[in-house]
Amino acid sequence: MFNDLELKDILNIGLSTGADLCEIYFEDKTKNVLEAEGGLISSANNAHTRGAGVRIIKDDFVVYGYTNELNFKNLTNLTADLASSFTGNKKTCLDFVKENRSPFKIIKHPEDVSIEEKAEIIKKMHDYAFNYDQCITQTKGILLDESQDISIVNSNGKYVADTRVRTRFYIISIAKHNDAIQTGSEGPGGQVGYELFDQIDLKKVCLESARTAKKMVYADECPSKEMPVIIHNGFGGVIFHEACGHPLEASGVAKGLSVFTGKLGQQIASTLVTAIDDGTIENGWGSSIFDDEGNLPQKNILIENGILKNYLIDEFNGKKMNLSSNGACRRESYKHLPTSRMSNTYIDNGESTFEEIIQKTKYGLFAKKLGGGSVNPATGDFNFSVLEGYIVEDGKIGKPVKGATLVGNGANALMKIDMVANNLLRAQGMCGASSGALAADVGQPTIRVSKMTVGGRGE
Amino acid sequence: MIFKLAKEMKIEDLEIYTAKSANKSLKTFNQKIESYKISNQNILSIRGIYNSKMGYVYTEDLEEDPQQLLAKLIDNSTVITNTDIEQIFGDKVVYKEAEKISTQKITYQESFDLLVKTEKLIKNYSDKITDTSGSYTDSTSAITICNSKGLNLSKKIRYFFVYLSAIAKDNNDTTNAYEYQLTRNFSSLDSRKLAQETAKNAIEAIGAKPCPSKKYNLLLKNSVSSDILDQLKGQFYASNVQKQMSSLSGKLNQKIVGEAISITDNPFIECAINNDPFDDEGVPTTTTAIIQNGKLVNYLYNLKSAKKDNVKTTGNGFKGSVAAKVGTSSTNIFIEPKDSSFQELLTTLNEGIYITEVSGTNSGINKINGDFSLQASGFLVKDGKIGQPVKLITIADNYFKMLEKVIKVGNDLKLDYSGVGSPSLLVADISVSGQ
Repeated sequence: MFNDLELKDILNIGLSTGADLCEIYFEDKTKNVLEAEGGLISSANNAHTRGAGVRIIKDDFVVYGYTNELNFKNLTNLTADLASSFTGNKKTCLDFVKENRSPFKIIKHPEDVSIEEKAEIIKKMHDYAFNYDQCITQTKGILLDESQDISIVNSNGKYVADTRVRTRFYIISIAKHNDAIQTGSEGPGGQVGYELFDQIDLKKVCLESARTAKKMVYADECPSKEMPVIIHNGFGGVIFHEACGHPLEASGVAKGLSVFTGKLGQQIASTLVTAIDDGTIENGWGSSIFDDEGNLPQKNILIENGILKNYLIDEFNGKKMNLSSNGACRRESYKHLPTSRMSNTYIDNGESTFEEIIQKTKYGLFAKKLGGGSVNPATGDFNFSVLEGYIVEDGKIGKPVKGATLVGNGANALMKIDMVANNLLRAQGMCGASSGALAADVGQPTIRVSKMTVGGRGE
Repeated sequence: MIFKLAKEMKIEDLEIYTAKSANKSLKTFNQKIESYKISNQNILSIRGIYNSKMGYVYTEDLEEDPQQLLAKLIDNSTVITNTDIEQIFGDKVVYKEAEKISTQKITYQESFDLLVKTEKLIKNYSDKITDTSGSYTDSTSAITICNSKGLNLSKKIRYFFVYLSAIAKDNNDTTNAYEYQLTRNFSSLDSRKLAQETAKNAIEAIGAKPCPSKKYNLLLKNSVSSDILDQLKGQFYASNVQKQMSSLSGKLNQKIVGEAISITDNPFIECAINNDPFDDEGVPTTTTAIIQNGKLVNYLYNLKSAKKDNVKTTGNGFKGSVAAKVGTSSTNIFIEPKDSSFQELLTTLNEGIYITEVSGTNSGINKINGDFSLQASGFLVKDGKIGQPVKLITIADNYFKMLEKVIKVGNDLKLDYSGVGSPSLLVADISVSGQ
């Protein structure tokens, strides 16, 4: 849309008052959302997001502006307005050459799939879940796909582009029994097109949501007290994401606001814990070819056998920490100032088996499915909800329990992980923080935390 | 023009929604500027009825070919299988006058000075405050809705938002606290009050620890009660009730909570954030009593859900975001305050916990059945006096069951930044998990 000369002009305006860096981020994204209740499609929406964000950095001050009115004059004015925040001698931008790397391979691009085909999928979702059992009284289905083209050019000579295509669905099953209403939900997706439905078994996923809802509608209230908690693989990894991943983001670490500031090389977790953030996984939900400031994503070992090895670092915060970027800079859209974020984060396999962990637990909670949660990055205190839980007694999985929330402190909980299984599984989530809502994988094998506060309302 | 084109393409009715917005925001950390952000945006959202079904399309590319946009809209409408009747509003009605917006020009320096001044006040409150940060937003937007039925409406909104946070450290304990203010007038931003509250909350929480697990009577701070209501306000939306996604299906005109509780949706509260003369369908907004003395008396409606229940819309047809379809949303929704002062509530509680904050409300509350289990913090109350701070506990119940057990309702109604409000509530017999 802009030629190289125009881009250079804009970048030079950004540097006209002595800034260290000027960057332009272009985005063009199409998102389609279908929603259905009880198998009847109630809405279909097509949203075209398109605009540019200009970032200018000098020392530790960053200014950011964005607009969707993409003409040379408007972008020039915006950049000049931003540059007026600084005073200093003019600098000049370096020459840039576009760096070409192929985006992830997409087999059935959402654009090539008709809306009727999509409608067919969402109808099936209802049929599968609804027919599971007569206690299932309602379902909600959501099918979404998006295709995001971005390009980034900066005054240091960087010029890159990436295309991210994502497809995902949600199925929520609602079960009723007398006065009790419970839900079960699943939401798998990938950085893929509609080949997603060749890769996963739609029926199995939908039945799984109905199974959880049924299990929970007949469950007792979860007791409230401290106890050992076994957190299952897959989405259970949200515990690590909240309790440890967020506090490892350079944005907090650089300011000394994270509990893990200054702890590189020190033991911060049980020696059983090795944790990784890998933005390079092919077609991974949270992967990219370039991160959102044009660097290459990496496979970063954050914790190795309990020792803190690395943070999640973007250029701006890295500079304050005297560390270089490790490709962890992300943003939701051109409307967001980018910062250090997770991509696909997981605890690596350990040596126990799932069966062993259950067998070796005298009394505790088996949190088979977790929902979302949150963390206070300054204190590390976290919470997350248990969507499907069971009481473990004398080494056996016992009665199902509902309505539990787990709370704890990240630094404490990491030290209390006393068993790690070998059944690593990743699951898809949306992670919300200062640079917007991002696709991010969480993951882990089944783990046991020796003591946690379990909050329910049963005896 | 686009309406003519739509007619040619057999779109029965068409509605154009535009939003033009300009924002300025800045962030400070330890009294130094950290980031400054400006933006301008101009978007277009179109919906139209084709073969009796509503289709939507949204774009940020204003040069996009209208014919292509309408073709996408038609495409989207053809897969709708839900049989609810859709309408575009064209009644000739009189709208209330919108609140005047502030036209005051606020410079970068003024907003920066405000944050730094407030941060200084926080820092000076105690030696134990180690870090402070602030953020400021000045946001203006202009919205227009016009449709093929002759509707042609516009409104302007401007608000200022200030958010302060503080970190306090003592020995090995770290606490943090935040406060915010959202207002339509820059001059009403009260840095002294913000600073005082932020600093006090951070300092008083030092040394907090979990308390024993058992049932307690709780005094829920006004902001805590509204944080919970915020997640469950969707239970009152007719659209959710009709889709059996609300536990209040079939409960109209029944007593669902204690008599002390009345909940109202009111779009005309002076200075509140969601004051609006009309909703995103162009329908005049109204004040709606939802719960009256414990009895469920009304749901909130948009045109579609109202038609389905054969009632009049309450004017709650709002978009979740500019890019989204028209759904249902409350305006300023709140639990009606009563007479009890905060001190009275505390004295009546006598023994229990004063809950000042809940976290993880997005995941710890089941939006369909009203069950909640939330991370909480606050203070133990003994002999009617605030004592030892507590944290990392959970409070759990069902929202409507909890509202049956309300002992007293305070007089300190506070609306939060999304227009949800409550006074402080004294509730009995809630499960608390700690040690």
